[in-house]
Amino acid sequence: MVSIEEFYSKLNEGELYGGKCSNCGNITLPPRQICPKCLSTQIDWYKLSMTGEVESFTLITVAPKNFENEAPYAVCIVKILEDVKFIGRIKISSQNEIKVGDKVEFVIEKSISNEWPMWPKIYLKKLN
Amino acid sequence: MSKPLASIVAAGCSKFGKRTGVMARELLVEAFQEAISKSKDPDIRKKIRVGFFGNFSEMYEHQSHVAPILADWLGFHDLPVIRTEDACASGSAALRTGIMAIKSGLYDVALIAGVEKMNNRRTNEVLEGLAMASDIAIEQWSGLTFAGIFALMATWHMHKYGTTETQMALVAVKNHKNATLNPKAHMQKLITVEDVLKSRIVAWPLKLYDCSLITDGAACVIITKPEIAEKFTDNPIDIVGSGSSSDHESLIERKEISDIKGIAKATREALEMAEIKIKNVDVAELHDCFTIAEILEYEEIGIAERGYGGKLLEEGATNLDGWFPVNPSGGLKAKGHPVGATGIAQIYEIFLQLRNEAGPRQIKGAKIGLAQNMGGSGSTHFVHLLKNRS
Repeated sequence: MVSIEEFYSKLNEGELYGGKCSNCGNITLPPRQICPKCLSTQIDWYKLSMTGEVESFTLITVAPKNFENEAPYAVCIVKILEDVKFIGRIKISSQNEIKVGDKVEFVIEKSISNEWPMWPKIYLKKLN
Repeated sequence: MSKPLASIVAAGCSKFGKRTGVMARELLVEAFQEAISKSKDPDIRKKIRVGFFGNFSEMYEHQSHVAPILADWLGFHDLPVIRTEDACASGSAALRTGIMAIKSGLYDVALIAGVEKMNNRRTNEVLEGLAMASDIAIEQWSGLTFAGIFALMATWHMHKYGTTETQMALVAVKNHKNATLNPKAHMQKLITVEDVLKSRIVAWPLKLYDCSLITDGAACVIITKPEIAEKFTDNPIDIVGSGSSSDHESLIERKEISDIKGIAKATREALEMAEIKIKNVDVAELHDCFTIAEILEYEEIGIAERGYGGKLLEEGATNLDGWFPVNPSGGLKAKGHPVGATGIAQIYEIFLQLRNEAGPRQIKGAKIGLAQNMGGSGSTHFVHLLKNRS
């Protein structure tokens, strides 16, 4: 059975797994128990590439309290496969340092928090 | 034209702004006193049978369970009350719930209120509270703010359709101009496109003047069964359509991230219910939490083709004297965005417009008005259509 906690614990070990519907093949990130396309509950783990391309991005300079020590940073939506996207952030200080279509790799920083949620941080590295 | 769902017989709105030294409940007292003063029935308060209260975050005043407390402060000590929370659409959620209560026949008179007191906290804490409306399993964890979420939509819309930062700035310029005609607006300041483009980045491509305001405020309406409305006022405003929808909160789940499909669905539902075409709407209040949102909304409600929302601003189509005036109140952008109050404050503005009571910002001869309010990234949706009886 897939779960969000298990998804993040796999990610903490540096591996990105989605949930793949064994009925229609749809992949979700994070995985869910009910396929949003066909409503099947037969969902299996499916290993995904740690690379993708930037579909959209924003440069955050005014951050929420829990992230204010990291600002500025960009948050990117990354397309891994067609209709399979995930999100990560990259330490840059100008919007000119990144563009739609850039190839990026997910870089996982293991969680050191003792407070819920004890999930890893998801960063991005630009690939040339 | 179909039979109305319910009728608005009174409406009130507090002054919007940084309301230092006033608590949420006291802001609502201000709005409520205005509302009941507008009824010709001096005993309207005693006729209210139920209350629905829209309020977003318990974090700002460290106060959850607001419904009985708000009711108590208004003088109700024995009233069925329910709080509704749908992030920035909490107010409209209260209205739609109230409409269901009236339409079901369970109640004949209902108080619908929305309130938010946000300025007790510093900005990063307010943003943290707002960010709680995004999905913790995905987007909260990435360090996104709501400006960031709408910025992601803006970047994509710029990339795919060529929407420009200048077009977004025109939303801010228009809504600020309208707000100078609204004494209750938070900001009373004319700005230029240059001012917007030169303001500091908050979440590129959105800059400070692309963002709505952190505002304290409250608004309320009293709604009744249509057939008894004229006992309370000679000029009731009928609610003739109510549409609602939901969608993925997380943008990564959306096939195209700048499509906010729930707006189109809710608008269609409301229009069909009212048997009205969008082109017959005389005035609209749209949810301009960020300038890009108003542009996307033009496309979703059906006054612009996909990708062409920005063009309407260049043509002045949505100015007070345009063919489809949007946000005469100043919108969330300049009137302000006290989250839980916003949906009801939109209804308040349409109520004034349809009663020809909007003063210098009055849209001449307005008969039909639309209010569109959404929560989060555009995952909860409410669209209401109002009409006068002239």
